[in-house]
Amino acid sequence: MIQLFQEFVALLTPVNLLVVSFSTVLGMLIGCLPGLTATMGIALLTGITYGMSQDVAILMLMGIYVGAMFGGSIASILIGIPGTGSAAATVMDGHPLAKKGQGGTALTLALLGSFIGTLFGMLLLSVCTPFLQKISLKFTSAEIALLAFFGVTICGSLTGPGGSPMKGLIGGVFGLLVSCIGMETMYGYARYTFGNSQLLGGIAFVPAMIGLFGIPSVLGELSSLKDNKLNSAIHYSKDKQDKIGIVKLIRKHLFGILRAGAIGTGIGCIPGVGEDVAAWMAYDTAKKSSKHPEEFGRGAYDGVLAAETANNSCVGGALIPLLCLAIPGSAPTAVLLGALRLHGIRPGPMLTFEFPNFIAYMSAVLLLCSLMMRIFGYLACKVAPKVLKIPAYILMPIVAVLSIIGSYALNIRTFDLVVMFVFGILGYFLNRQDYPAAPIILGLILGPMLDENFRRTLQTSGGSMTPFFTRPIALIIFILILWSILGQLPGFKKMLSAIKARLFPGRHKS
Amino acid sequence: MENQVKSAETAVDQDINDRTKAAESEQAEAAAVRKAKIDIFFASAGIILGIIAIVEGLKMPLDRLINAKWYTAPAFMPIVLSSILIIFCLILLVQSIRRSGGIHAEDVRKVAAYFKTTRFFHLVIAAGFLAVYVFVLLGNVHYILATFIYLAVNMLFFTTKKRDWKHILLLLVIAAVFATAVGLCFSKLAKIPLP
Repeated sequence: MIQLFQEFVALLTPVNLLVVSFSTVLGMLIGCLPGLTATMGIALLTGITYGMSQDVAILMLMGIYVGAMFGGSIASILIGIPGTGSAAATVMDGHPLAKKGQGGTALTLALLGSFIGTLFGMLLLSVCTPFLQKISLKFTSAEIALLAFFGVTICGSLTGPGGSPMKGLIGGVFGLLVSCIGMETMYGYARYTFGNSQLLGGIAFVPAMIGLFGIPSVLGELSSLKDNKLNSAIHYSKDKQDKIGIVKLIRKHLFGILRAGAIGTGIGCIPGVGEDVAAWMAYDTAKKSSKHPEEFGRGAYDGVLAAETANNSCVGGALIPLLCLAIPGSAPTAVLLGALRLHGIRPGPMLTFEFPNFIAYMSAVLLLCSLMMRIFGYLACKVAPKVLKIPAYILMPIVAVLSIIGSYALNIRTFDLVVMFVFGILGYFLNRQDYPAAPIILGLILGPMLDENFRRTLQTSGGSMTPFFTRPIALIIFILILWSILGQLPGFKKMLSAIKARLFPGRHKS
Repeated sequence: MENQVKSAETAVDQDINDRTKAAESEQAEAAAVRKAKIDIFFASAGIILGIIAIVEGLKMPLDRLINAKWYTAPAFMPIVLSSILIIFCLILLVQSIRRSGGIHAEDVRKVAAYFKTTRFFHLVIAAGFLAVYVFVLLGNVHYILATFIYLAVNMLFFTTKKRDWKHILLLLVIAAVFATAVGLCFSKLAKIPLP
């Protein structure tokens, strides 16, 4: 805690404050625009911040992340279209409140919920991470290889669509396979380059990431333009509730807010799950435990608070596995992992040795971002209705231009633009078929880690697979991998329910 | 009398709600079946990709490198991953065929019909504009001019408003201002090299 305070004080320089203010507001605006997500915002900024110092780049990316989580709620409340996937649950009660003429109140509640949620996540990040870090120090190359594969499989299985969850796993393995392109690390052998010297360095993940997240939005919006209906649908009104009323509301729902914070952080810790699941789970829990569940969906204040607290507390939660194990807790943190590596920071067991205060530093950054979000949130609420009026035919070409700069700025290579374009087109069709982009990117990032550590383990064991099963942590991760893959197969699910029925005949009605 | 009217209204509302829900679930089911049919193509493409990756992997030296064994060879991981990709794609293929009942001649016609829709035409145009900007304009024309051309052409083509001279002028000004601002901000202020 003292470290956290010291880091926070050290962050309070004019330049840092300016950067965080700018990035948080930018994040809120990105989040509020339907079609632009936090992941995409971080992906775009990753390339652009490459030339900046490590501190400024991290502040900027975290500001975008935290800001976008709240920004998504602005569009959800005012126009009933979630600005980001994580704000989908906010639509349920936020928009009905806006329709009733309480748009200002709903936005204030969303802002306060987001603020408290981020603080909650920050607190758990600073408390839990050191413990998890100690465990991760016991990891050998066998555990690291399995963990890399587990990160991809769990992200794939959880982000895959309900109808066919296999798609997420396919995306993850595809990403891992693409990461094999280029010169491998053990012998320097060029794989799948087909004589093309540009491929020797492999597929850079930043252009691929911008292509997968940015270009599909541009192509999708431009190809389905009908009419910009947003102008007429904005329900914005100033607060009817006075400040005392809002404070009373927060006090009344304090337990619910803390519960949503705990759910959000807990969900964030699970690799690959993310903010949208956290928001829905918290919303569902709030509804089930409410004395007036019938009010949910018609403008319940606790519905807005639960969803917004959970999606923002998930930010801190998602950073825990990212920093300890290099396994991202959500799609934006998958992109953030790449960004951190670009700036010379390697999250994982060795992080505390290479950067002793980094966890306290990240907690302080999160604290500063949440404060800036709290301060500039009202400004964003006033500006957002105007930004939402920008038609897609103006906005999307601008996003394309920024995507191109982001892809090019990293290596100053024209080939990266080709990568962005190819992944963009591929991403459009994959997106239309509900193949999630996050596991592909995660596969691309974690691929080299898996390849190197897997082969190193086999090298030390003389080709024997036993280290993957005989070491306790490795065995647990291996079982989790099997679980995440087999859990997607209907036959396995049936078998499990049959076993349950036999073991607990009384409880199992079918 | 008033109560009777109210209950009749409620019954009508309930009926409309039920019908809407039924229609929505039918539409969702039809969309899921359509996606499952397209997944057959995607899964097949994944299997072909996996086979190509294995064939190419087998061309790599498995134990001909200095100190290399088959399990440390460069081809090891690509072959393992390609095999996993093939297995996953086979599972998706079977699931998709089960769900959609396979592909018939009518489905091929439907897919062909998609390529004639306005949406697809707009997609090709949007991707085409982007390709021209990336592969032709950037590097050959000054960045600000190239960006202005790309933005202006996109905005003018995809605008949903009537293209009168006022609107055209507004879009051209927006494109010019943004292209100049981006060009100057990134190259002069942020010192980021532009394509």
